Amino acid sequence: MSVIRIVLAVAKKDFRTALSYRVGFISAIVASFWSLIAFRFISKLVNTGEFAGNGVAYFRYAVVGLLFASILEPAAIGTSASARGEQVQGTLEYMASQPVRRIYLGLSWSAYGLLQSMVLAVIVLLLTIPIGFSVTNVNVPVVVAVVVLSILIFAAVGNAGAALVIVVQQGSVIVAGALSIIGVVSGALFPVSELPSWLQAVSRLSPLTYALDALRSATLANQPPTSYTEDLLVLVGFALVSLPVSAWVLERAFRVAQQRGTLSTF
Amino acid sequence: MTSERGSRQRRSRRADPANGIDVQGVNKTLRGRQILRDACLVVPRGTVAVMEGDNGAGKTTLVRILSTVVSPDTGRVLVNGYDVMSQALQVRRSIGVSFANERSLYWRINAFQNLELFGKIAGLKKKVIMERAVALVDELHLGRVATGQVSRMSTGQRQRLMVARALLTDPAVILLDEPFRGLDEEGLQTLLELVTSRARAGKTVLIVAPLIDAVTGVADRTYRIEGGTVRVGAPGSGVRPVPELP
Repeated sequence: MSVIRIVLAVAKKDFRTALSYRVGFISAIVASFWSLIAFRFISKLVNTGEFAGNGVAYFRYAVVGLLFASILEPAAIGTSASARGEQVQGTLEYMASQPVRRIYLGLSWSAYGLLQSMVLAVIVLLLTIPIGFSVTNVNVPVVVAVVVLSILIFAAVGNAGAALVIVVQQGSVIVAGALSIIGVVSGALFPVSELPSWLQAVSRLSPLTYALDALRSATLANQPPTSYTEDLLVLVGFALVSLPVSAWVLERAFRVAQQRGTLSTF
Repeated sequence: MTSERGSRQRRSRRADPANGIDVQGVNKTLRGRQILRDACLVVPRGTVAVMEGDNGAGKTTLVRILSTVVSPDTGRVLVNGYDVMSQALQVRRSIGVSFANERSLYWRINAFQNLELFGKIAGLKKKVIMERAVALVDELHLGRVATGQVSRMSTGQRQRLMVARALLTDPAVILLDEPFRGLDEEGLQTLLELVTSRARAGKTVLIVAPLIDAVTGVADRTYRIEGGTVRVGAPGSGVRPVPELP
Protein backbone atom coordinates (compact mmCIF):
# COMPACT_ATOMS: atom_id res chain seq x y z
CA MET A 1 0.00 0.00 0.00
CA SER A 2 1.37 3.38 -0.96
CA VAL A 3 0.52 4.99 2.39
CA ILE A 4 2.68 2.46 4.25
CA ARG A 5 5.50 2.86 1.71
CA ILE A 6 5.49 6.64 2.12
CA VAL A 7 5.17 6.57 5.90
CA LEU A 8 8.11 4.16 6.19
CA ALA A 9 10.25 6.15 3.73
CA VAL A 10 9.74 9.39 5.66
CA ALA A 11 10.24 7.60 9.00
CA LYS A 12 13.54 6.20 7.72
CA LYS A 13 14.63 9.68 6.68
CA ASP A 14 13.69 11.05 10.10
CA PHE A 15 15.53 8.18 11.81
CA ARG A 16 18.66 8.94 9.80
CA THR A 17 18.31 12.61 10.66
CA ALA A 18 17.85 11.76 14.35
CA LEU A 19 20.98 9.58 14.23
CA SER A 20 22.94 12.62 13.12
CA TYR A 21 21.98 14.21 16.46
CA ARG A 22 23.22 11.43 18.71
CA VAL A 23 22.23 12.54 22.20
CA GLY A 24 18.51 13.10 21.51
CA PHE A 25 17.23 9.58 22.21
CA ILE A 26 19.18 9.06 25.44
CA SER A 27 18.16 12.44 26.83
CA ALA A 28 14.50 11.63 26.03
CA ILE A 29 14.76 8.39 28.09
CA VAL A 30 16.38 10.21 31.00
CA ALA A 31 13.74 13.00 30.95
CA SER A 32 10.81 10.55 30.81
CA PHE A 33 12.21 8.30 33.56
CA TRP A 34 13.00 11.29 35.75
CA SER A 35 9.40 12.56 35.63
CA LEU A 36 8.19 9.09 36.68
CA ILE A 37 10.61 9.06 39.62
CA ALA A 38 9.00 12.32 40.72
CA PHE A 39 5.60 10.63 40.57
CA ARG A 40 6.94 7.72 42.65
CA PHE A 41 7.58 10.19 45.47
CA ILE A 42 4.30 12.04 44.89
CA SER A 43 2.46 8.69 45.13
CA LYS A 44 3.58 8.44 48.76
CA LEU A 45 1.52 11.55 49.51
CA VAL A 46 -1.62 10.35 47.74
CA ASN A 47 -4.02 8.94 50.30
CA THR A 48 -7.48 9.60 48.94
CA GLY A 49 -10.32 7.91 47.05
CA GLU A 50 -9.45 4.63 45.39
CA PHE A 51 -5.78 5.09 46.32
CA ALA A 52 -6.32 5.51 50.06
CA GLY A 53 -3.63 3.59 51.93
CA ASN A 54 -2.06 2.36 48.68
CA GLY A 55 0.39 4.85 47.19
CA VAL A 56 1.87 2.23 44.85
CA ALA A 57 -1.56 1.86 43.19
CA TYR A 58 -1.47 5.56 42.34
CA PHE A 59 2.07 5.23 40.97
CA ARG A 60 0.94 2.41 38.62
CA TYR A 61 -2.07 4.51 37.63
CA ALA A 62 0.17 7.49 36.82
CA VAL A 63 2.75 5.40 34.93
CA VAL A 64 0.09 4.05 32.55
CA GLY A 65 -1.38 7.54 32.03
CA LEU A 66 1.95 9.29 31.49
CA LEU A 67 3.51 6.69 29.22
CA PHE A 68 0.34 6.41 27.14
CA ALA A 69 0.22 10.19 26.79
CA SER A 70 3.89 10.17 25.80
CA ILE A 71 3.07 7.75 22.96
CA LEU A 72 0.15 9.85 21.72
CA GLU A 73 1.99 13.15 21.94
CA PRO A 74 4.10 12.62 18.78
CA ALA A 75 0.96 11.68 16.85
CA ALA A 76 -0.74 14.93 17.77
CA ILE A 77 1.93 17.54 18.40
CA GLY A 78 4.63 15.81 16.33
CA THR A 79 2.64 16.10 13.12
CA SER A 80 2.19 19.86 13.32
CA ALA A 81 5.76 20.30 14.59
CA SER A 82 7.06 18.31 11.62
CA ALA A 83 4.93 20.32 9.22
CA ARG A 84 6.36 23.49 10.73
CA GLY A 85 9.86 22.01 10.52
CA GLU A 86 9.40 21.23 6.81
CA GLN A 87 8.05 24.76 6.32
CA VAL A 88 10.97 26.49 8.04
CA GLN A 89 13.58 24.13 6.58
CA GLY A 90 12.27 24.77 3.06
CA THR A 91 11.21 21.23 2.13
CA LEU A 92 7.43 21.63 2.48
CA GLU A 93 6.88 23.06 -1.00
CA TYR A 94 8.93 20.29 -2.61
CA MET A 95 7.04 17.64 -0.63
CA ALA A 96 3.79 19.19 -1.85
CA SER A 97 4.97 18.71 -5.44
CA GLN A 98 5.37 14.96 -4.92
CA PRO A 99 2.90 12.44 -6.39
CA VAL A 100 1.19 11.54 -3.11
CA ARG A 101 -2.05 12.38 -1.38
CA ARG A 102 -1.55 15.07 1.22
CA ILE A 103 -3.05 12.94 4.01
CA TYR A 104 -0.19 10.46 3.44
CA LEU A 105 2.26 13.29 4.04
CA GLY A 106 0.40 14.20 7.23
CA LEU A 107 0.52 10.62 8.49
CA SER A 108 4.18 10.26 7.57
CA TRP A 109 5.19 13.35 9.56
CA SER A 110 4.42 11.66 12.88
CA ALA A 111 5.65 8.15 12.03
CA TYR A 112 9.21 8.31 13.33
CA GLY A 113 8.20 10.21 16.47
CA LEU A 114 5.59 7.54 17.18
CA LEU A 115 7.98 4.65 16.70
CA GLN A 116 10.59 6.36 18.85
CA SER A 117 8.10 7.12 21.61
CA MET A 118 6.87 3.51 21.67
CA VAL A 119 10.40 2.15 22.01
CA LEU A 120 11.11 4.77 24.64
CA ALA A 121 7.90 3.90 26.55
CA VAL A 122 8.85 0.22 26.70
CA ILE A 123 12.35 1.06 27.97
CA VAL A 124 11.01 3.46 30.60
CA LEU A 125 8.33 0.93 31.60
CA LEU A 126 11.03 -1.66 32.27
CA LEU A 127 13.01 0.90 34.27
CA THR A 128 9.97 1.60 36.49
CA ILE A 129 9.58 -2.04 37.59
CA PRO A 130 12.31 -1.83 40.27
CA ILE A 131 10.65 1.27 41.72
CA GLY A 132 7.17 -0.22 42.09
CA PHE A 133 5.43 -0.68 38.73
CA SER A 134 3.74 -4.00 37.97
CA VAL A 135 0.84 -5.30 35.90
CA THR A 136 -1.59 -8.16 36.39
CA ASN A 137 -2.94 -10.42 33.62
CA VAL A 138 -2.42 -7.98 30.77
CA ASN A 139 -5.00 -8.35 27.99
CA VAL A 140 -2.61 -7.86 25.07
CA PRO A 141 -5.19 -7.72 22.22
CA VAL A 142 -7.11 -4.98 24.03
CA VAL A 143 -3.92 -3.02 24.74
CA VAL A 144 -2.92 -3.27 21.05
CA ALA A 145 -6.41 -2.24 19.90
CA VAL A 146 -6.50 0.75 22.25
CA VAL A 147 -3.03 1.91 21.23
CA VAL A 148 -3.73 1.58 17.48
CA LEU A 149 -7.12 3.29 17.65
CA SER A 150 -5.78 6.08 19.86
CA ILE A 151 -2.84 6.67 17.51
CA LEU A 152 -5.25 6.99 14.58
CA ILE A 153 -7.46 9.44 16.48
CA PHE A 154 -4.57 11.57 17.68
CA ALA A 155 -2.94 11.45 14.24
CA ALA A 156 -6.16 13.05 13.02
CA VAL A 157 -5.75 15.77 15.65
CA GLY A 158 -2.16 16.15 14.45
CA ASN A 159 -3.28 16.50 10.84
CA ALA A 160 -5.65 19.29 11.87
CA GLY A 161 -2.70 20.97 13.60
CA ALA A 162 -0.57 20.54 10.46
CA ALA A 163 -3.39 22.12 8.45
CA LEU A 164 -3.19 25.16 10.75
CA VAL A 165 0.57 25.32 10.26
CA ILE A 166 0.17 25.23 6.48
CA VAL A 167 -2.42 28.00 6.46
CA VAL A 168 -1.28 30.33 9.27
CA GLN A 169 2.29 29.09 9.96
CA GLN A 170 1.35 28.25 13.55
CA GLY A 171 -0.39 25.26 15.09
CA SER A 172 1.86 23.26 17.40
CA VAL A 173 1.17 25.53 20.38
CA ILE A 174 -2.59 25.27 19.84
CA VAL A 175 -2.43 21.48 19.55
CA ALA A 176 -0.17 21.25 22.62
CA GLY A 177 -2.63 23.39 24.60
CA ALA A 178 -5.58 21.26 23.48
CA LEU A 179 -3.69 18.08 24.35
CA SER A 180 -2.88 19.42 27.81
CA ILE A 181 -6.58 20.13 28.45
CA ILE A 182 -7.55 16.71 27.10
CA GLY A 183 -4.97 15.09 29.41
CA VAL A 184 -6.39 16.80 32.50
CA VAL A 185 -10.06 16.09 31.79
CA SER A 186 -9.43 12.51 30.63
CA GLY A 187 -7.79 11.20 33.75
CA ALA A 188 -4.19 10.84 32.64
CA LEU A 189 -2.87 11.61 36.14
CA PHE A 190 -5.90 11.27 38.41
CA PRO A 191 -9.32 9.61 38.21
CA VAL A 192 -12.06 11.50 36.37
CA SER A 193 -14.24 10.93 39.45
CA GLU A 194 -12.12 13.52 41.29
CA LEU A 195 -13.15 16.24 38.80
CA PRO A 196 -16.13 18.60 39.28
CA SER A 197 -19.28 17.18 37.73
CA TRP A 198 -19.28 19.58 34.77
CA LEU A 199 -15.71 18.59 33.88
CA GLN A 200 -16.68 14.95 34.21
CA ALA A 201 -19.30 15.64 31.55
CA VAL A 202 -16.62 17.23 29.36
CA SER A 203 -14.37 14.22 29.87
CA ARG A 204 -16.98 12.01 28.15
CA LEU A 205 -16.29 13.98 24.95
CA SER A 206 -12.61 13.11 25.01
CA PRO A 207 -11.43 9.91 23.29
CA LEU A 208 -8.53 9.73 25.73
CA THR A 209 -11.01 9.07 28.58
CA TYR A 210 -12.19 5.86 26.91
CA ALA A 211 -8.67 4.88 25.86
CA LEU A 212 -7.30 5.25 29.40
CA ASP A 213 -10.28 3.44 30.94
CA ALA A 214 -9.77 0.49 28.62
CA LEU A 215 -6.01 0.51 28.98
CA ARG A 216 -6.02 0.57 32.77
CA SER A 217 -8.69 -2.11 32.90
CA ALA A 218 -6.58 -4.26 30.56
CA THR A 219 -3.32 -3.79 32.45
CA LEU A 220 -4.06 -3.07 36.11
CA ALA A 221 -7.56 -4.17 37.01
CA ASN A 222 -7.86 -7.69 35.58
CA GLN A 223 -11.32 -6.96 34.14
CA PRO A 224 -13.36 -9.38 31.98
CA PRO A 225 -13.24 -8.69 28.20
CA THR A 226 -16.86 -7.50 28.12
CA SER A 227 -15.92 -4.47 30.21
CA TYR A 228 -13.81 -3.06 27.36
CA THR A 229 -16.42 -3.38 24.62
CA GLU A 230 -18.09 0.00 25.08
CA ASP A 231 -14.76 1.87 25.31
CA LEU A 232 -13.43 0.16 22.17
CA LEU A 233 -16.62 0.87 20.20
CA VAL A 234 -16.44 4.55 21.14
CA LEU A 235 -12.79 4.67 20.04
CA VAL A 236 -13.67 3.01 16.71
CA GLY A 237 -16.37 5.66 16.22
CA PHE A 238 -13.94 8.51 16.97
CA ALA A 239 -11.38 7.04 14.52
CA LEU A 240 -13.93 6.52 11.74
CA VAL A 241 -15.06 10.15 11.97
CA SER A 242 -11.83 11.97 12.77
CA LEU A 243 -9.50 10.49 10.14
CA PRO A 244 -11.58 11.33 7.01
CA VAL A 245 -12.40 14.77 8.44
CA SER A 246 -8.71 15.49 9.09
CA ALA A 247 -7.78 14.28 5.59
CA TRP A 248 -10.29 16.71 4.11
CA VAL A 249 -9.10 19.57 6.35
CA LEU A 250 -5.44 18.95 5.42
CA GLU A 251 -6.24 18.84 1.70
CA ARG A 252 -8.21 22.10 2.03
CA ALA A 253 -5.28 23.70 3.88
CA PHE A 254 -2.91 22.81 1.04
CA ARG A 255 -5.38 24.26 -1.47
CA VAL A 256 -5.65 27.51 0.48
CA ALA A 257 -1.84 27.78 0.65
CA GLN A 258 -1.60 27.02 -3.09
CA GLN A 259 -4.12 29.74 -3.84
CA ARG A 260 -2.24 32.24 -1.65
CA GLY A 261 1.16 31.03 -2.88
CA THR A 262 2.39 30.57 0.69
CA LEU A 263 3.68 26.99 0.68
CA SER A 264 7.24 28.28 0.54
CA THR A 265 6.82 31.04 3.13
CA PHE A 266 7.21 30.77 6.88
CA MET B 1 -21.11 2.91 -8.52
CA THR B 2 -21.52 4.03 -12.13
CA SER B 3 -21.22 7.67 -11.17
CA GLU B 4 -18.07 6.91 -9.15
CA ARG B 5 -16.52 5.17 -12.18
CA GLY B 6 -17.52 8.09 -14.38
CA SER B 7 -15.95 10.53 -11.96
CA ARG B 8 -12.71 8.50 -11.91
CA GLN B 9 -12.65 8.41 -15.72
CA ARG B 10 -13.14 12.18 -15.86
CA ARG B 11 -10.27 12.66 -13.41
CA SER B 12 -7.92 10.47 -15.45
CA ARG B 13 -9.00 11.83 -18.87
CA ARG B 14 -6.08 13.41 -20.62
CA ALA B 15 -5.95 16.16 -23.22
CA ASP B 16 -3.78 15.74 -26.33
CA PRO B 17 -0.31 15.25 -24.82
CA ALA B 18 1.53 16.42 -27.97
CA ASN B 19 2.53 19.42 -25.90
CA GLY B 20 4.33 18.68 -22.67
CA ILE B 21 3.35 22.10 -21.38
CA ASP B 22 0.31 24.08 -22.51
CA VAL B 23 -0.46 27.31 -20.64
CA GLN B 24 -3.31 29.50 -21.89
CA GLY B 25 -4.39 32.88 -20.50
CA VAL B 26 -3.11 32.44 -16.97
CA ASN B 27 -3.43 35.24 -14.45
CA LYS B 28 -2.10 35.14 -10.91
CA THR B 29 -2.17 37.78 -8.22
CA LEU B 30 -0.21 37.25 -5.01
CA ARG B 31 -0.38 39.58 -2.00
CA GLY B 32 -2.16 42.21 -4.06
CA ARG B 33 0.35 42.23 -6.92
CA GLN B 34 -0.44 40.74 -10.31
CA ILE B 35 2.44 38.36 -11.04
CA LEU B 36 1.18 36.71 -14.24
CA ARG B 37 -0.87 38.56 -16.83
CA ASP B 38 -2.61 36.51 -19.53
CA ALA B 39 0.45 34.27 -19.70
CA CYS B 40 0.59 31.75 -22.56
CA LEU B 41 3.29 29.15 -23.15
CA VAL B 42 3.41 26.02 -25.28
CA VAL B 43 6.32 23.61 -25.12
CA PRO B 44 6.00 20.61 -27.45
CA ARG B 45 7.11 17.17 -26.32
CA GLY B 46 10.77 16.43 -27.00
CA THR B 47 11.95 20.03 -26.88
CA VAL B 48 14.06 22.15 -24.57
CA ALA B 49 12.49 25.52 -23.85
CA VAL B 50 14.38 28.23 -22.03
CA MET B 51 12.64 31.17 -20.38
CA GLU B 52 14.47 34.24 -19.17
CA GLY B 53 13.21 37.20 -17.25
CA ASP B 54 14.25 39.73 -14.68
CA ASN B 55 13.81 39.15 -10.95
CA GLY B 56 10.13 39.29 -10.06
CA ALA B 57 8.99 38.88 -13.68
CA GLY B 58 6.91 35.81 -12.80
CA LYS B 59 9.21 32.95 -13.86
CA THR B 60 9.19 31.10 -10.57
CA THR B 61 5.45 31.58 -10.10
CA LEU B 62 4.88 29.97 -13.49
CA VAL B 63 7.08 26.98 -12.54
CA ARG B 64 5.21 26.67 -9.26
CA ILE B 65 1.89 26.66 -11.10
CA LEU B 66 3.20 23.95 -13.45
CA SER B 67 4.26 21.99 -10.34
CA THR B 68 0.79 22.32 -8.71
CA VAL B 69 2.14 24.11 -5.62
CA VAL B 70 0.54 27.42 -6.64
CA SER B 71 -2.93 27.60 -8.20
CA PRO B 72 -3.70 29.89 -11.15
CA ASP B 73 -6.49 32.44 -10.59
CA THR B 74 -7.76 32.08 -14.15
CA GLY B 75 -6.69 30.33 -17.33
CA ARG B 76 -5.88 26.75 -18.26
CA VAL B 77 -2.66 24.90 -17.52
CA LEU B 78 -1.97 21.43 -18.90
CA VAL B 79 1.14 19.45 -18.07
CA ASN B 80 1.66 16.22 -20.00
CA GLY B 81 -1.98 16.57 -21.03
CA TYR B 82 -3.28 16.82 -17.45
CA ASP B 83 -4.96 19.85 -15.89
CA VAL B 84 -3.07 21.25 -12.88
CA MET B 85 -6.30 22.03 -11.05
CA SER B 86 -8.50 18.98 -11.60
CA GLN B 87 -5.77 16.36 -12.21
CA ALA B 88 -3.05 17.57 -9.86
CA LEU B 89 -1.95 14.09 -8.78
CA GLN B 90 -1.45 12.99 -12.41
CA VAL B 91 0.49 16.20 -13.08
CA ARG B 92 2.73 15.52 -10.09
CA ARG B 93 3.33 11.98 -11.39
CA SER B 94 4.39 13.47 -14.75
CA ILE B 95 6.91 16.04 -13.58
CA GLY B 96 10.40 16.24 -12.18
CA VAL B 97 11.05 19.65 -10.70
CA SER B 98 14.01 21.51 -9.29
CA PHE B 99 12.99 24.68 -7.47
CA ALA B 100 15.45 27.52 -6.95
CA ASN B 101 15.81 26.52 -3.32
CA GLU B 102 18.69 24.36 -2.15
CA ARG B 103 16.95 24.09 1.23
CA SER B 104 14.43 21.77 -0.45
CA LEU B 105 16.96 18.98 0.13
CA TYR B 106 17.33 17.26 3.48
CA TRP B 107 20.74 18.47 4.63
CA ARG B 108 21.36 16.05 7.53
CA ILE B 109 21.33 12.97 5.28
CA ASN B 110 23.43 12.21 2.22
CA ALA B 111 22.73 12.50 -1.51
CA PHE B 112 21.85 8.83 -2.01
CA GLN B 113 19.52 8.92 1.00
CA ASN B 114 17.78 12.00 -0.41
CA LEU B 115 17.32 10.25 -3.74
CA GLU B 116 16.13 7.07 -2.02
CA LEU B 117 13.50 9.02 -0.07
CA PHE B 118 12.02 10.77 -3.09
CA GLY B 119 12.25 7.63 -5.23
CA LYS B 120 10.26 5.69 -2.67
CA ILE B 121 7.70 8.46 -2.33
CA ALA B 122 7.27 8.33 -6.11
CA GLY B 123 6.71 4.57 -5.90
CA LEU B 124 9.96 3.33 -7.45
CA LYS B 125 11.41 0.01 -6.36
CA LYS B 126 14.60 0.17 -4.30
CA LYS B 127 16.66 -1.58 -7.01
CA VAL B 128 15.49 0.90 -9.65
CA ILE B 129 16.18 3.83 -7.33
CA MET B 130 19.71 2.69 -6.63
CA GLU B 131 20.48 2.00 -10.31
CA ARG B 132 19.21 5.42 -11.37
CA ALA B 133 20.76 7.21 -8.41
CA VAL B 134 24.19 5.74 -9.12
CA ALA B 135 23.89 6.66 -12.82
CA LEU B 136 22.75 10.24 -12.10
CA VAL B 137 25.36 10.82 -9.42
CA ASP B 138 27.97 9.62 -11.90
CA GLU B 139 26.60 11.73 -14.79
CA LEU B 140 26.52 14.83 -12.60
CA HIS B 141 29.98 14.19 -11.13
CA LEU B 142 28.73 13.96 -7.55
CA GLY B 143 30.36 10.64 -6.70
CA ARG B 144 33.02 12.17 -4.46
CA VAL B 145 30.50 13.87 -2.17
CA ALA B 146 27.41 11.67 -2.52
CA THR B 147 27.94 9.69 0.68
CA GLY B 148 28.52 12.73 2.91
CA GLN B 149 25.82 14.91 4.41
CA VAL B 150 24.22 17.37 1.97
CA SER B 151 25.15 20.12 4.46
CA ARG B 152 28.80 19.56 3.54
CA MET B 153 28.22 20.04 -0.19
CA SER B 154 28.91 23.26 -2.07
CA THR B 155 26.05 25.25 -3.59
CA GLY B 156 26.89 23.95 -7.06
CA GLN B 157 26.92 20.34 -5.84
CA ARG B 158 23.55 20.79 -4.14
CA GLN B 159 22.24 22.33 -7.34
CA ARG B 160 23.30 19.26 -9.30
CA LEU B 161 21.76 16.99 -6.68
CA MET B 162 18.44 18.82 -7.05
CA VAL B 163 18.59 18.19 -10.79
CA ALA B 164 19.39 14.52 -10.15
CA ARG B 165 16.34 14.35 -7.89
CA ALA B 166 14.19 15.92 -10.60
CA LEU B 167 15.34 13.33 -13.13
CA LEU B 168 15.16 10.30 -10.82
CA THR B 169 11.64 9.23 -11.81
CA ASP B 170 12.38 9.66 -15.53
CA PRO B 171 9.53 12.19 -15.75
CA ALA B 172 7.76 13.20 -18.96
CA VAL B 173 8.15 16.90 -18.11
CA ILE B 174 11.26 18.37 -16.49
CA LEU B 175 10.99 21.80 -14.84
CA LEU B 176 14.24 23.46 -13.78
CA ASP B 177 14.07 26.80 -11.99
CA GLU B 178 17.44 28.55 -12.04
CA PRO B 179 19.43 25.29 -12.25
CA PHE B 180 22.73 27.04 -13.01
CA ARG B 181 23.23 28.73 -9.64
CA GLY B 182 26.71 28.11 -8.33
CA LEU B 183 27.74 25.92 -11.25
CA ASP B 184 31.19 26.19 -12.78
CA GLU B 185 31.73 25.86 -16.54
CA GLU B 186 32.11 22.09 -16.35
CA GLY B 187 28.99 21.72 -14.21
CA LEU B 188 27.03 23.88 -16.62
CA GLN B 189 28.07 21.81 -19.63
CA THR B 190 27.30 18.55 -17.82
CA LEU B 191 23.85 19.79 -16.93
CA LEU B 192 23.11 21.01 -20.44
CA GLU B 193 24.19 17.69 -21.98
CA LEU B 194 21.97 15.88 -19.53
CA VAL B 195 18.80 17.88 -20.26
CA THR B 196 19.46 17.79 -24.00
CA SER B 197 19.71 14.01 -23.92
CA ARG B 198 16.42 13.83 -22.03
CA ALA B 199 14.71 16.04 -24.62
CA ARG B 200 16.05 13.85 -27.43
CA ALA B 201 14.47 10.93 -25.60
CA GLY B 202 11.07 12.62 -25.94
CA LYS B 203 10.89 14.50 -22.66
CA THR B 204 9.76 18.09 -22.35
CA VAL B 205 12.24 20.39 -20.63
CA LEU B 206 11.58 23.90 -19.37
CA ILE B 207 14.56 25.81 -17.99
CA VAL B 208 13.91 29.10 -16.23
CA ALA B 209 16.76 31.47 -15.45
CA PRO B 210 17.42 35.22 -15.18
CA LEU B 211 19.95 35.19 -18.07
CA ILE B 212 20.02 32.55 -20.76
CA ASP B 213 23.03 33.48 -22.88
CA ALA B 214 24.94 30.45 -21.71
CA VAL B 215 22.16 28.00 -22.49
CA THR B 216 20.59 29.25 -25.70
CA GLY B 217 22.77 26.79 -27.60
CA VAL B 218 20.65 23.90 -26.39
CA ALA B 219 17.28 25.65 -26.54
CA ASP B 220 14.75 24.60 -29.16
CA ARG B 221 12.53 27.49 -28.07
CA THR B 222 13.29 30.57 -26.05
CA TYR B 223 10.92 32.86 -24.23
CA ARG B 224 11.18 36.03 -22.24
CA ILE B 225 8.77 36.86 -19.46
CA GLU B 226 8.18 40.56 -18.75
CA GLY B 227 5.70 41.88 -16.24
CA GLY B 228 4.03 38.51 -16.06
CA THR B 229 3.53 38.17 -19.80
CA VAL B 230 5.41 35.58 -21.85
CA ARG B 231 6.99 36.70 -25.14
CA VAL B 232 8.66 34.57 -27.77
CA GLY B 233 12.42 34.96 -28.15
CA ALA B 234 14.89 36.65 -25.88
CA PRO B 235 16.06 39.95 -27.30
CA GLY B 236 19.78 40.57 -27.43
CA SER B 237 20.75 37.10 -26.36
CA GLY B 238 21.76 35.64 -29.69
CA VAL B 239 18.75 33.40 -29.74
CA ARG B 240 18.11 31.35 -32.82
CA PRO B 241 14.72 31.93 -34.51
CA VAL B 242 11.88 30.35 -32.64
CA PRO B 243 8.41 29.44 -33.85
CA GLU B 244 5.53 31.72 -33.01
CA LEU B 245 3.19 30.74 -30.26
CA PRO B 246 0.12 29.01 -31.62
